[in-house]
Amino acid sequence: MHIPDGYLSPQTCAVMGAVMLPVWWASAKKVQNTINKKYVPLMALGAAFSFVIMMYNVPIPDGTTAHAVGGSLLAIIFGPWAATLCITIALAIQALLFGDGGILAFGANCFNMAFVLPFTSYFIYQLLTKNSEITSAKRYIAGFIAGYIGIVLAAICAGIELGLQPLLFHTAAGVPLYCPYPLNLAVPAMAFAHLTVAGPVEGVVTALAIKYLQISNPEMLSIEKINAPSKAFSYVKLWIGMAIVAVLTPLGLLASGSAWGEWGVDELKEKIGFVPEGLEQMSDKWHALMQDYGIPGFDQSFFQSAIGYITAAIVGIILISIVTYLFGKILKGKDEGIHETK
Amino acid sequence: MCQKSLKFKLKKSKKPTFLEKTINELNNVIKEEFIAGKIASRHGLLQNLDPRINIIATLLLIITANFIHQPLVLLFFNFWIIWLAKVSLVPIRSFLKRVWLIVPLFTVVMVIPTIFSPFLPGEPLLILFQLSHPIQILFWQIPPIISITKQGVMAAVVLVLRVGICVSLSLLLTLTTKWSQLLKALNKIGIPTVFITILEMAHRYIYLLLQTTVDMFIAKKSRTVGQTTTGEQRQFISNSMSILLGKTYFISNEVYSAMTSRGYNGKALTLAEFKLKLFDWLWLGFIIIVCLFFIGGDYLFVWK
Amino acid sequence: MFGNNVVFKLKDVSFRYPSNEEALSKINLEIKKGELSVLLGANGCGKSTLLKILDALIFPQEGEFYAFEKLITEEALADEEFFYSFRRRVGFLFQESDVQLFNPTVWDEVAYGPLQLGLNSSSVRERVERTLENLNMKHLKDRPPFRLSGGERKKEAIASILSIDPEVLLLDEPTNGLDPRTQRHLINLIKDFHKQNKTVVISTHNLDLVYELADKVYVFSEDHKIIACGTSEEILDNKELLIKVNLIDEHFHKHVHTGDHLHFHSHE
Repeated sequence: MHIPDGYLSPQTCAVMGAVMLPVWWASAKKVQNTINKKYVPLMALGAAFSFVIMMYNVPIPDGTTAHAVGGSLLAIIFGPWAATLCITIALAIQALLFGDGGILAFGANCFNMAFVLPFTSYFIYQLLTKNSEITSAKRYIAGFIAGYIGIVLAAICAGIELGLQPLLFHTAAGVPLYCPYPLNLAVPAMAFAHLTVAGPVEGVVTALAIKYLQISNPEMLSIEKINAPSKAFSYVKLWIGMAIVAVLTPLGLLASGSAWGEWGVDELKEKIGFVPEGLEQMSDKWHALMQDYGIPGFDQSFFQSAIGYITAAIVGIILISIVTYLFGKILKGKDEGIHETK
Repeated sequence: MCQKSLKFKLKKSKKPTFLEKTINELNNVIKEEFIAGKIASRHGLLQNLDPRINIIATLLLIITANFIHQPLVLLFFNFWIIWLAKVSLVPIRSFLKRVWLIVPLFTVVMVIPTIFSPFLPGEPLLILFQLSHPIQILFWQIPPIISITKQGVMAAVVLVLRVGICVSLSLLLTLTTKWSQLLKALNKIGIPTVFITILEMAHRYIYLLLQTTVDMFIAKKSRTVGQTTTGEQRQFISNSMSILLGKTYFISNEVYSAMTSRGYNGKALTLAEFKLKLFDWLWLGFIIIVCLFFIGGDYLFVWK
Repeated sequence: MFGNNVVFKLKDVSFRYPSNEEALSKINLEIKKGELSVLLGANGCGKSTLLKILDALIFPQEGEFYAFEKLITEEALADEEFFYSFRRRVGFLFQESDVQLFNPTVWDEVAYGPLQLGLNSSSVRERVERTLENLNMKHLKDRPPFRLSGGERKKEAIASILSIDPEVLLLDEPTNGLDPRTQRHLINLIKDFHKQNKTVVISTHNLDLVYELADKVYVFSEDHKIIACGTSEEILDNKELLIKVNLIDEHFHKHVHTGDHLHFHSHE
């Protein structure tokens, strides 16, 4: 899933990098506050582990092999923040030393594999194994599901990043300047490849590893974790709620007319007979990134418009959530900092 | 994006087992770094630079490449990079192989569908089929005229050329800078010391874990008689991952003890010093001019 | 309470691992400045754990440990000044070299100790050059540890400790896995260090080391206690004791060669 340079526009790379900056900062703070001085060697070894795991060739039924990321396993054992740091470092070494994954695209790759993957896996695993024994079968089945969904979601994010390119960056004649596949091809393609191959690989590998640890080294499954907020469960409810809302947004399209107060210049003229001068000047100046909450060039049929709506909703929710969540973390961190004893 | 499996599909010889594949790849990692170290010690042009300048220049060039869209300019950029490699005493044939036969080749394969109109609508260059009406499959509509389009070919060419540039530039950077110097330079540019320490340590212990893994795999290989099912193989892989995870945790605790024993108290400290020479400033100036030249060329050769 | 020049003193020290496994049971010993002591015992008897306690890397649950006449606890080491002064005075050689070679190159590794302990850059550089020179390692200074042989890595590990210029050296199974030449080199190094009136504590099950180096020998039983203490002659002559603690088998005997040295063997 490593995206090389050239596929994503520099603007996209910059945005993804900006999104990751607070995540990295928060993960460094969180890890340091929890395990303090020990975190340097632990993160270094975790990153080395992550790197080596990504090199394993896992045999799959058709006779070839595929690669796992190991991010789910790391998140389940050491907690999501630690996994973020470790995978980021591993990706950095891969990009710098081995040319695997671009340098400009580093932010995007980290977002997908070092943020979405471990956090999703961690939450799903926690949700499914809330009160079960360390050695119960629930644990490794949960591991499978967590790994599977984690990597599929990460792949979908990559697909969205790639698929947005031709829509946002093309010449007047319609030549895509970066990745040429639009959302309706990139997302299903990435999703399909990972639903059928990489997903099961990550899931199976995570599950088997947990199963093995249950027998040989059960202490590993309960070592001190660098946890996400303790109210993880209520957060999940929130996410589910937002997802439902996101899916239902196209229903708005069915209602004819525009929402009160959100009229365009033409509609306003129709309604009251004239258009205030300032409004006319401003309306052209700011073309929203996703004009009319759709994806430019992609709103022919209702179905396509719906996809556009949902994508816009998802992107909007994700960005807002991230910023909100991290502001919360920073403020919480400030409080903890004051009370911290050395 | 499974480039690695693709590489093996191209081999006509007997298919290696998953153990052999992994062992090969792991050994290649060690070999590659050894070769890179040798090239970084030569007295070529780029090796002569302060590593910080090399990093900044490379970044500027990669960013510039991503703002250029004319195939001719991109092509010329690629040739200029080959000149850079030559002047830095990098063996050209293996450089080209290493650059073009992995990511760009994979890109070519990946981007071939784009040149056809069902994937990217556009002006036809070569009409292949004509259907009576468009066909709809799920999210995807196939147009009645199936052709190779101008836009498709352009998109494909531009992408492949650009990817080639980016890969060449980053490879050139790592070949002409010693890894330890590269990390210390990143530190001096602004990346926090703590991250650099973790990066250095992670890199160093990759080799230990690789060796452990290779040993486990070779031991397994020597004990394997006949075929194993893919299920058994996956079981083995997961077991070795778990063992590796346990060893990882154990080693990290020992390393922490060793660090503490020699005075580590939570502070990340470094001793590296770099001095900028006139040559570094001249080179940076030259690179800025080159970037402007390419961007200018992009405007001039506008191809619609 | 402290006699002359007592460097380390342990009173009824016991240690358990977090998994509740017992590692040491009521250990009492006193190590004086300039002594070369050997902790002798079979694998798993707790001698490595004891060395870690001596280096204040872990802390006993029962009993008291005094170093340089000060009671050593986690709180004591939380004081920065004492932390640095302790770390400067004691050096620890780990059994597996790889865990203490965590820097990118040999030069960085040897510089790490002096740097962490607060020396300024020029002093650090000078120390590193000197240490590498003394150990004949200058040609290796830019190598990463994974491109060194086992013997070279051992040397690098030793160099990384000697650059701190400690008063006390703690060595955990130093000759394990070494080829004869490297082993000989290491023994000579330890002898040199000892001649400078520095304190050395070695944990091992290698009887050759006892004969060649030890002033004092502490014998550990397999149930984590010290059951004997004496000079190397006393201990090595006590065949019964050595069999009891599983250091030798019944066929053990000494060879006496013309010249100065003895060899200790077991035969099938």
